Amino acid sequence: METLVSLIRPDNFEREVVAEKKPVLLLCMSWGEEFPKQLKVMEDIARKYSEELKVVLLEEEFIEAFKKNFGILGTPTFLILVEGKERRRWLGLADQKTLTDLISHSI
Amino acid sequence: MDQELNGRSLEKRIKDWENEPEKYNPPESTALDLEDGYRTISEKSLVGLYIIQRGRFSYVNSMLSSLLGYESPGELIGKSFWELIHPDDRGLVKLVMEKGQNELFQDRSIFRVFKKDGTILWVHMGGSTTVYQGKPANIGHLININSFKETEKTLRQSLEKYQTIINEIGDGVAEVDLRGNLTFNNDTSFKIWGTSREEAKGGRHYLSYMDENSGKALFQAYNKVFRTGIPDKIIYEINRKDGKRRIIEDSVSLIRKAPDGSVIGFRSVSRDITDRRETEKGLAEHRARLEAIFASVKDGIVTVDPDLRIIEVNKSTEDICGIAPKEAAGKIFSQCFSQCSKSCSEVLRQTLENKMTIKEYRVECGHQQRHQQTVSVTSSPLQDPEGNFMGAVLVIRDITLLRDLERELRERNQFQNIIGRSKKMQDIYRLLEDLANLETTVLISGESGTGKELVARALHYSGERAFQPFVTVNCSALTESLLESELFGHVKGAFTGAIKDKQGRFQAANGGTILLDEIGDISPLIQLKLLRVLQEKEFERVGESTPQKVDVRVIACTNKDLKEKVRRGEFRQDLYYRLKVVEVSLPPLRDRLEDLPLLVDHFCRSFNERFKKNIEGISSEVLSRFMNYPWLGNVRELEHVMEHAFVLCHGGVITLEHLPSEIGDYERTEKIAIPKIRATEPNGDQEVLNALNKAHWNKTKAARLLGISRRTVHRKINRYQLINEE
Repeated sequence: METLVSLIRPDNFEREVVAEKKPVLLLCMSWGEEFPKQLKVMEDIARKYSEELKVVLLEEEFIEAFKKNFGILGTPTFLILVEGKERRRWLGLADQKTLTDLISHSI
Repeated sequence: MDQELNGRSLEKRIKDWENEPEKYNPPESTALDLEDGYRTISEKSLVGLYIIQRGRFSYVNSMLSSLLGYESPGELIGKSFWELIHPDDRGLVKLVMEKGQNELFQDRSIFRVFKKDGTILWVHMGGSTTVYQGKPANIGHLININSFKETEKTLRQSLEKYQTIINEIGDGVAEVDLRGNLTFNNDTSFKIWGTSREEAKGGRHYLSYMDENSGKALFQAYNKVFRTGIPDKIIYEINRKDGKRRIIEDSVSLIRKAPDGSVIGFRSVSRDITDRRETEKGLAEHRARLEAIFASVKDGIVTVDPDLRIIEVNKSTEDICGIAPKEAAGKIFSQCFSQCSKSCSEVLRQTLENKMTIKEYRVECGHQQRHQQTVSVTSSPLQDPEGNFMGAVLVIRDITLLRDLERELRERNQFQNIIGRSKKMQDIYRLLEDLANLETTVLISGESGTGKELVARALHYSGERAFQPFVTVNCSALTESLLESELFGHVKGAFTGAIKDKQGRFQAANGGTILLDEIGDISPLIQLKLLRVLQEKEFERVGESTPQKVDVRVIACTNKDLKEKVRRGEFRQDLYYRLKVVEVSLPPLRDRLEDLPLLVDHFCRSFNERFKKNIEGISSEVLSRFMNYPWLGNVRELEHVMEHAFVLCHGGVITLEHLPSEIGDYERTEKIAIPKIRATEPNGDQEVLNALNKAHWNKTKAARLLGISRRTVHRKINRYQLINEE
């Protein structure tokens, strides 16, 4: 997938998220009707905050694996993580403004 | 004399003197004394006194000159009386003075006079005509009534103000006597009745404003108030003169007369509630429509107050969530859901906390009676018309079917590291998704090289154990005793060479997953021990009798026909069924050749990276060769072939010369054995069945024997319903 959004799996989580110095915006979402739109929003955010924020997408096959670790109850769930620890969370579909607000309250 | 003067008014005295002058005419000397006396009285009077002759003042006392702002009476002597009178009042004064020719004029004798400084003074005038010093004269008094006029003006203004208020209020105010005659109405009461104060003149009985039935109802209501003495409300309809039918609400109370309190009438405050009634009716209809929608919509709808207490639940919520509307009302939301994940509760909690809408949040219910149910929930803040926050509304949509359809429609090229977009692989991907979070034991079967370990890893990393250990054991690589020690561990001295305690693979995999590869090759002893682990979740290390508890998900792989081994008594049946709770059967590559180009691309990317090369892909001849090759070693064989080609290829495209000889020569050698391509398709099922049996049901080989495509072989198997009886 050619995208500004990095893909996260259990084997690269430590490197890409926990060890990351910048705050990380992580999207947990299964493929579906709304997925392309949400991915577009994430890419826009990644472009806008390229200096301050890392934007990542949980690979779909590993969503279940991450659910328990992060207490994710459903999708889409957006998490702001700092050194792997959750700072804020947003449930449900989000537009760019919603995510911008979420980010501005977190970093 | 003094007593007499004090006891009777000056005017009376003058009148008596005028009527009977001879009686009061005293002797001259006495008359002088009397005039001096009157003058003294006049000068000391607090009332302004005057004598006018021929329209001019001939006498003015000090009080009058003071009232009119003159320094002394002398200033007024000779001045015109009429010039002092306000022009608008002169006619009135003249009339009064003429009327009172022979009597004191007191009626309507209030008018305005100009003071010396030009300001106006309201005065009351009294006086009469007489003869003074032998000439006709008007003798009289002026009393300052400015303060009374101010008071009167204030009272009048106050009255006007209250009249304006009472006329302008939206409610009609009326009073009626006990005979039903209206004694007071404000303007609004006339408007309510569709008339005006002018039009209503003459029609003073209340029945003149309404029809007979309304009149009867009104009488009964008023009568009830009369009997009970308790103010009451009555709602009635009237047919107005303008033809409109209006609904009126009267608040009726009694009017009592002081001081005995006897009832003298009724006072009513009326309101035209026609519009309100219509609005209420409209609202009621609107609510009825909303309730119908609320009841019939397929989505579950739940409203809660700010404390998460359920206000209302619709019927569909019962269908989706299993809670009855009647039982739910008033309860805390999370307490109503005992059989599911309660994820919706968190959604509502966040809405209440942030006062923001959460849209289309997909949740797997985890409901005990609806295992696969997935819902999309949308939660919004509830606000009253003034914008005050009053809770939240949750809309729950069952999207289980939609989710399943999405899965069906989605064609993936890859699932984790498993490559393939064929129908067979799509089915496997969906099965892997379903198995991800199930703790069940899984048996992965398939020929060597089909990717069984990749599937096992995918299962591990898809589930909740992803961050826990994934341990693999190749069961065929070790002897029984070594495998036992490897799996379960041993204690120091358990056997020769056991110089220290050793942790087994099961212990190492605690919390995670253990992959038992080549499970078909394990001995009966290991089968027994394994069965115990699967059933009891405990084992004993070699040389120890204390059982160890372990939480491990077991995935087993085999390329053997375990069922056949069970039939032959080589594999425990109970273990077989224990392992085969769910079986993932991987197809050989030759049965999903449509995935071959995708796999080739994948290996190209992978080896380009590994060998630091930039090979674009394979030639069409190579692809054709690949498509006709049986790939008995499956994907692993393809991987090795591609690696081989990458080593040899120094150009941009892999050609036949870069392939291993068994593939490069395959088509030529095999063609010797393949019959000529038939012009026509084989007839009958027996010919196809013979070829299939000859090829041990390898459809690719059978196709080559028959000279037809593999696809045609499949078609004929289906058409003739051929069964492999081997």
